[in-house]
Amino acid sequence: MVWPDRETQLSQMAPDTPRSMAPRAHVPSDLRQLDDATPYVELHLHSCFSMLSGASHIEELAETAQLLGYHALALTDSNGLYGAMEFAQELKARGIQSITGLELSVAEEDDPESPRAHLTLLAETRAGYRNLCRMISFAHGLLLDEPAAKDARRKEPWIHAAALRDHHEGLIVLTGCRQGRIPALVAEERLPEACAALEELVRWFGRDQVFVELQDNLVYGDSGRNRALVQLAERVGVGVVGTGNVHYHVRERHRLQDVMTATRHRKTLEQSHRERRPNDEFYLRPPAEQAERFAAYHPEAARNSVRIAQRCQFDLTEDLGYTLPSPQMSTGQTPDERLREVCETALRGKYTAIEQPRATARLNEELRLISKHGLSGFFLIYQEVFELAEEVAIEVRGKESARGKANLPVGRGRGSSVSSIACYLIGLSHIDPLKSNLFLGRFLNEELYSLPDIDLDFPRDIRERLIERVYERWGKDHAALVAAFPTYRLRSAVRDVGKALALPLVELSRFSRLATQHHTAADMRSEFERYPEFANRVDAPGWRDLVELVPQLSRMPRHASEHVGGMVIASEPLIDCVPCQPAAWEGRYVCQWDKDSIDDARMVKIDFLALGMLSAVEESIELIAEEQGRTLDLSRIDFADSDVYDDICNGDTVGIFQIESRAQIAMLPRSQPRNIDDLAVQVAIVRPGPIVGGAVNPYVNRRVKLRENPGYVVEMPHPDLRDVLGETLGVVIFQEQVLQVAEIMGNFGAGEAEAFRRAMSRKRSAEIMESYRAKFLAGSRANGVSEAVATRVFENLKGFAEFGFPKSHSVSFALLAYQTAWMKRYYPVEFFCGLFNNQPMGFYPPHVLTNDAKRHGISVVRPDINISRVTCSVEQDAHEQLEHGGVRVGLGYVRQVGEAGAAVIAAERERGGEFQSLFDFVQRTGLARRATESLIRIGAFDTFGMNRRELLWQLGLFGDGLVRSNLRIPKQRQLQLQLSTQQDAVPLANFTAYQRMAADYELLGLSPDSHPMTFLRPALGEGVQSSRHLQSLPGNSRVSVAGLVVCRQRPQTARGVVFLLLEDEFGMVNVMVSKEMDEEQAILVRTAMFLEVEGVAEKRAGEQRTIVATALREIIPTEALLTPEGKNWG
Amino acid sequence: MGPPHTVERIDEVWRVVDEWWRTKPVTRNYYRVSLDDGRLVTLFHDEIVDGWFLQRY
Repeated sequence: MVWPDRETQLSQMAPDTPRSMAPRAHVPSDLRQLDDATPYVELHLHSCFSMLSGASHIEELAETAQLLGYHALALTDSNGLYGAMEFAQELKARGIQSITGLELSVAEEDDPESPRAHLTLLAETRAGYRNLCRMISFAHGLLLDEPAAKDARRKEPWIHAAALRDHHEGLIVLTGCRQGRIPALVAEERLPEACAALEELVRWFGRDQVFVELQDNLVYGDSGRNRALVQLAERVGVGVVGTGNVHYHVRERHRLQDVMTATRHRKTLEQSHRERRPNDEFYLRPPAEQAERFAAYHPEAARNSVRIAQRCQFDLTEDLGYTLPSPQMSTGQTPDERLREVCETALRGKYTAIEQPRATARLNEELRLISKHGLSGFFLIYQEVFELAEEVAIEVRGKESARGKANLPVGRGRGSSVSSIACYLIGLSHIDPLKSNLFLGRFLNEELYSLPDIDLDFPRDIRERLIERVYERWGKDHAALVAAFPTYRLRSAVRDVGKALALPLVELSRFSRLATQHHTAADMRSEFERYPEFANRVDAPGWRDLVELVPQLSRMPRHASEHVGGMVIASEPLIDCVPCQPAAWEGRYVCQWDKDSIDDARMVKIDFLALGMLSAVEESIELIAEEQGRTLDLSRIDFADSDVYDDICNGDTVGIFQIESRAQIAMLPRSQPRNIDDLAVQVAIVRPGPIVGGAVNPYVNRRVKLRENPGYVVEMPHPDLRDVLGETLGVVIFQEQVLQVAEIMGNFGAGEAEAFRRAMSRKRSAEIMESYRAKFLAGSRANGVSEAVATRVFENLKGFAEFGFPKSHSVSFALLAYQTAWMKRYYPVEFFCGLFNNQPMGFYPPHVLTNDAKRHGISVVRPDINISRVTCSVEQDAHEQLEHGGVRVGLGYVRQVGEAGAAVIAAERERGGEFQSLFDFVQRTGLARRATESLIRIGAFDTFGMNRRELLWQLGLFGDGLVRSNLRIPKQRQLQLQLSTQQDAVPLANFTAYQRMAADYELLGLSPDSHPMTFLRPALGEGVQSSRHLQSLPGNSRVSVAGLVVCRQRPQTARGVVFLLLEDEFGMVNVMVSKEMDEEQAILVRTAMFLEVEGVAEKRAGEQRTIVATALREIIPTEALLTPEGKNWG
Repeated sequence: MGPPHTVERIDEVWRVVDEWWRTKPVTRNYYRVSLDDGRLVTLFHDEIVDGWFLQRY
């Protein structure tokens, strides 16, 4: 194959093809050539994207193919192209031709019960690729409407054979593996049927397109079957081709493949003898060896693999055929003209006459870039999406509701698109990029190596409806969510490998609990050796295999899922470019590529993200309107309220968006943000990029110096960087600054700077990074910057190989952070109620939020069977002695009841009035016994005057008529219960306060009345201090504290240090555990529910205290207590 | 054990790798062969013990 150079390709493209669709610049010049000397090409290969079947990563397969000298290779994963783009890119980078194919499950009849057989299909041309995509989409049930049928296809895709006839163009078909119809018929010596089946394929595809596939993996029966297949091919007059049916890159990986097979069939290795492959011969063998093996059957069998590869000129990296979406233009305008008109109209409404010249200049610059890259249609499509979102918001919020009247943005922009004035003008962002001084280059620049992403945050309910509406507007064949592939991590890998090896589940579970989520599966051996009870099993049978196989399973995809929000919309049918399939969530459709493959395909995606905090805010606004009759407009609150900033600066931020984490609370008193710009820095700074880049301490220290001495002048790495780094006091905190510093100091071009940023974020090779470093240092030298300073700045930039925020994104989030802090200060009850009703979200679980609420004078009141709603609600008079009223916990919070059970209770109460007794409740709701028990144990029936033990006793007297398996009861029918008699009732002592608290934690996940430390403290030594005493101690005091572990954190940037957050009845304490102590006392650090910590209370000026632990002791409650497990944050 | 025979022809070769998680794993290469006396027998080479065996069905 001869690759045209980039300019030639560009010149050959249709004039209306946007330049950004142009092929990538890095076409390798050393693509290996297929010729007469090429012995063999592997045309049947499975990667780990044949979920739980292929046992090697694409990178491993590509690397091995390169080492073995392959010139071309096909990927034929089962019923999917999930890995096709990654495979094509990976091979291209290695100079190997990639062939896109798949192994399709085909049913003879259009009937779910019809037996299915495998067929190998290879895309010869673009049309063939399109047919592959369509057939896979159909196999996954894209055309089906009935949910159960779709669900069945999603789990086990198949296609009716007749579909092959209609989608044959451009495809080469091989007859498949041992599970192929024709090989199976031959193996069963049903030769006339095999002959008929082959002739049918020839009729559908054409004689030159069909090859009989020979496979020899030293499986019993291979030789005889292959000989018969050769005879069959000669009889029908088609070619034969040998394939390896490769399932792993090296022989040793067969064990993992066995484990995967057992896991896929939910069996152990012992139980899965029939399902597993019989040997270790399904690896990628050298081409010459394969050629020799197949020569024994037919002289052309290997040679035909090369001929097929030569014919398969479709290149997924170049020939995808995707065009940027563009709306129908009925006005005769071009997309450029239409976009300009929309933006200019909006500009006149959003900017004053004085502001307009500056805004127009910025807009003109953006429109020039948008036009240059052919993106006007893309922007207009997303304007349509935004208009759709506006309709959805009105529909979901309701015109007359407080949410509807609150002047809330439909969605909030996030990410780099917030820096675009075009996005601001067409509604895709709510932040004015001029006022916030946002740099455009991260979103749009001259060279644009990657298409821009537009991200929008929505409340959950609006997002869900919007996604449905997008399908309705564009159709499920033109719009799809982006895929995500949850991969194996240590815990999941231990569970699945351990189950396959039939190791004791209790011990697997214990090990998984110890080996926290901080670790990847690759750490298996070191994790195992860390714990004495497991260390001696490293080489024991079964366990030895676990240690070996868990790291191999690491990072393998487990199944296809949905990306959190990415969606692709296409003007042409999307299923011609990438297969689409129904998602697990009814009514949604997902394409088979993840965000990286979508990016590689140069497809545009828009992120509709569900942001729990937006849902909480909108719910709070409704509650404020309900309870106080006020309609809030959060865009018009005082954004300079010093009381709100005082709360923030004091670290009183539990529940506040983005600035509530342990690290944030520790830092806020030192960094002291006093306006939205400061908050934007605060939002961005506790991220791996700035932390690894060494930006945090210099920034915070300079903030302190500036407060102490307002005349302090911050020194910049270079005077020219003052404009860029001034707002972050001389360090790089935002992604845009990486680009700007690279341009100004290192003399990078705009596109080159973005390529540098992307190279870092994708962890490109050390050589590439070194070349950027050399270029940066040279540029800095030319600008008169010393080597030492340039090196320090480059290290700061390099930190952004880790995750970091763009300023545009941070400003958007800072605004929400402030708004939530404002709500917490002025409407705390409604705010907390909104938080409780939108869990899980944020950093803290409900029991921590409960205690924080109580510290703010807000009562959290237990559920009551006659008062509580399904969700939490506001009660202004809950506790009259409290200043702010309270939050009544909803019945849906109660374990075993849930929202479904709570809805049954609420509906019955609405219908028949308040419940008069436990008997009345049980008779009318028919709730399952365990649900009713839960309600009794958490005090929901306390209102009836009996204590909880007596109520449980009474429940037992109702007899078996009560026990039901589900929550639904027919209308107009009451349960027939045995009546309790007076003599059966017995006076019983109530549960103790401790037992009631324990039941609350177990069944509600929070305790409205008391903190467990109230009960545990008396047993502690006198020297153990409470959190409220810590602030008054002098610096570096030796202290002893104790509390419930609510959070464990081992940031990768902290070099093994573990941070624990302890909570006692008065507040929270930050504890730092050294790497050495973590290693010595790993079990304690990772699993203890309550800890007593001895240590030194460090205190820097104005900062929250951190206890540096010197000793740890587990506190074990004398009575059973099951608190929610502390959150583990990586 | 009878007198030695010559293998006239190998009709089929296959390999079995199984039970690798057990204390006695199986790694064998099987050969279906025709002997000089006309009999068809199955032999296998056990890689674990590095020995040749006659498969008795």
